[in-house]
Amino acid sequence: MMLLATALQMALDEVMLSQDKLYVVLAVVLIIWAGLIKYLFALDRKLGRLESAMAESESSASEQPASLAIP
Amino acid sequence: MTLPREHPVARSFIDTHYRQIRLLIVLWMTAVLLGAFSFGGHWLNIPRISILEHTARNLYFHVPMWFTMMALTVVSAWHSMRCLRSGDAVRDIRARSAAQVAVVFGLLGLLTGSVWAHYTWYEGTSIWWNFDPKQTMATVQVLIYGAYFALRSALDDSAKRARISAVYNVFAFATVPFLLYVLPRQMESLHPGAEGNPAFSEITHPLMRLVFYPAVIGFIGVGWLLYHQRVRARKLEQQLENRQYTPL
Amino acid sequence: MKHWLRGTWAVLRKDLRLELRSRYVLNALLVFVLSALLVVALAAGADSVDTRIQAGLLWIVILFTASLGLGRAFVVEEECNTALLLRLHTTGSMVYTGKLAYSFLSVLTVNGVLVMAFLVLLSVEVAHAGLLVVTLALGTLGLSGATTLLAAIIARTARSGPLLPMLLFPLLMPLLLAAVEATHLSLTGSVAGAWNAAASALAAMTGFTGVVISASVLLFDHVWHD
Repeated sequence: MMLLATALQMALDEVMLSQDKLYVVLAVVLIIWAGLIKYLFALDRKLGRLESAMAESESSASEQPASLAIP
Repeated sequence: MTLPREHPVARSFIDTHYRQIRLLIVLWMTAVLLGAFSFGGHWLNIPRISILEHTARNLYFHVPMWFTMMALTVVSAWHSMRCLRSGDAVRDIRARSAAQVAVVFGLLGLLTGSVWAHYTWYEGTSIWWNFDPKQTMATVQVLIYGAYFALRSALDDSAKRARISAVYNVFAFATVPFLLYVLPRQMESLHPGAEGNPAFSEITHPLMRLVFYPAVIGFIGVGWLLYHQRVRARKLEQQLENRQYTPL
Repeated sequence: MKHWLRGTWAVLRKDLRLELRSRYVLNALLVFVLSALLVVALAAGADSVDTRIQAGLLWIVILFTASLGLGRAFVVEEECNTALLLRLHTTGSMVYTGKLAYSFLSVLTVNGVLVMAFLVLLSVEVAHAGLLVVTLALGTLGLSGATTLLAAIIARTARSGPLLPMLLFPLLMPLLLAAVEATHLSLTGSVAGAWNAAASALAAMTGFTGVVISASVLLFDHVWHD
């Protein structure tokens, strides 16, 4: 297990330090990209949920009998 | 009989031109990315420095995280202050949303800084985390917001929650400058501009600033987009809650 | 001004009298401090610990003691339903200052005992007693200044639990770092000009205390009144 971990670590180091460390820049950009996209998707899901809830409340409001509505 | 609408007309310039602003920010960021990765005989060919090598380009990505977090922190504290003065619920929504997006940028800054430092400053060691003053600052700021959200969830009444969490937010904001003063005296920093290190302007090639400053503006723009949508989502949520509790 | 002083004194006197009657907080804190110190001393082992770490350990115990002891200041008022009476008869700043004075006195007392026990149990030698006393007094004032407002905040929450330490620790980071630095300087004998060396740390502590207390006075009314 330890051996595997160190082997992985070494392989990672080898990739990251090759090409004058260009892959470190790639890693940083990917982290930011993934973080922002993940946040954006979570936000979109929330908005979608709110939209459908909104539509539901709108349709239930229009179904109300006229006598209950505020004049 | 028609039901009254919650939001009649009061739509600001930002609301009506949101899509255009978003397009502008996306194009701007695309240009920044192109500028950041132009090398090998193209324009904006930045000089190589040993140890840093190509990672000097991380300046365009890692550092703006910090700028964006600080900008959102200021926005959050400002809205909290206004919330205390006026008691306006929208101010509370704005303060909370800015804090949420600030945490996202703070975490991204910490993560990217950790990766960058591991392969440059700490190359050949197994260090991923070191208590560098700037790193500690960002961590403390994220922790403060963690406490802020925990405090919010411990308050049930919404008016009380807005007021008391605003007090904490403003109070925490007042103590942050001391951290800036005390930390550099306590631990050594490898960041440029710290004591004994060359200043930012000395080690960055003028060409880099041509990309760096637009990158800062662009990322603050992206932060603003997320913040703006957060605010919108929260406003909608509140509208919905009001409808459920006061049936028409 | 005279009226304000009288109100502040009344709040302080009330709390002191209640405390002297039951001695609950003081006794509990003293027992806590001594057992925490024992744990620290045993964990440190027989080897002499670096003075820097000694200073750090001392302030960690102080921080935990304060977060345990000071959190009750306003919860008690809400529990006994006396908060309303206080609101009617005094202004917010009187309550804040009175509570601050009470917190300061009780933590100072506990810290005095704590430092004595600390010096004996870990066999620490003090090089600059004056600097140590000033650091402790300043640190205690800053600590109680920040904690009093936060204690008022958690008294308004529905579920407090571990809320106070969580709110308090990130805020106190600057004070704690400067206090450890100054304490460290007061313990090391080698520095001749310890006061000069500690000047920036003491300045940071003074500034922090001043800002925290004035911000608390400005913000307290928003927490105290509905």
